[in-house]
Amino acid sequence: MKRQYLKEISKFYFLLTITLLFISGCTVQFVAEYDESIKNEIIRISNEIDKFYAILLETEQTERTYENFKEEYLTIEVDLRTLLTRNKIRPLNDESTKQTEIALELWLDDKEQHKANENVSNFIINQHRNQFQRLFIAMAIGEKVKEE
Amino acid sequence: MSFDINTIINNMKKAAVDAIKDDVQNIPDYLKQIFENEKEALKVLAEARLTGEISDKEFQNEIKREKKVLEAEILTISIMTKAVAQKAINAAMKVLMDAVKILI
Repeated sequence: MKRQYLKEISKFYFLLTITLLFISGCTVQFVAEYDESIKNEIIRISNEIDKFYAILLETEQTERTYENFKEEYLTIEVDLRTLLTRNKIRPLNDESTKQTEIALELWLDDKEQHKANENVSNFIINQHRNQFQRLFIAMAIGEKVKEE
Repeated sequence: MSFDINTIINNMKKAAVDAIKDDVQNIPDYLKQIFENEKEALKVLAEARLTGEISDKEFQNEIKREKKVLEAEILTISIMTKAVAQKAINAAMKVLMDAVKILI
């Protein structure tokens, strides 16, 4: 009698779970929806930054003043802020948002250092170019894996 | 119409494993790559400090930046792990739902 009762209860909860899963759409979501335009934007900004460092490296040391590169610093800063906003408004997207915040933080550090020192050494250019490459690869992979 | 829970559970397990088998391998591979990159970056930095190419202040700032880059890279591992879990659960649930749909 008790066994039969437990069987009925189990059946009821099983059917209830199935019904609830149907109602909820049957899928779980832990990460934001994949956005190809975001992935393309990550690659575009990465290229923009890489080109910036390539030009800086080709420029004579005496010509590497902050003033000569101010416009590029600001353009890239705005691009990073736009990407940050786009990431922030997506649900389940904390990691990508934090990555973009880090990219912006490093870029602003570059800008402030250049402004304060009025020059940048080849060593620092190569170092920062490499850091941004690694950072943007991480961001692009992070977006790509959201694709089902 | 019968509802063989053992067969369904086995099929769910198989669907989950099949859905993530390639992605799961990418996680340790990328983690290894992250630390290889970090090793190389720190080696270059230490050499530059020892030869006096960069000042102590620059060295300290570069270490701070490296920590940030590493943090960003590890965040990708977190996304990869969540995406894999999502894929596995959804593949398994699809098998269950398909089996239930046949019954209804």
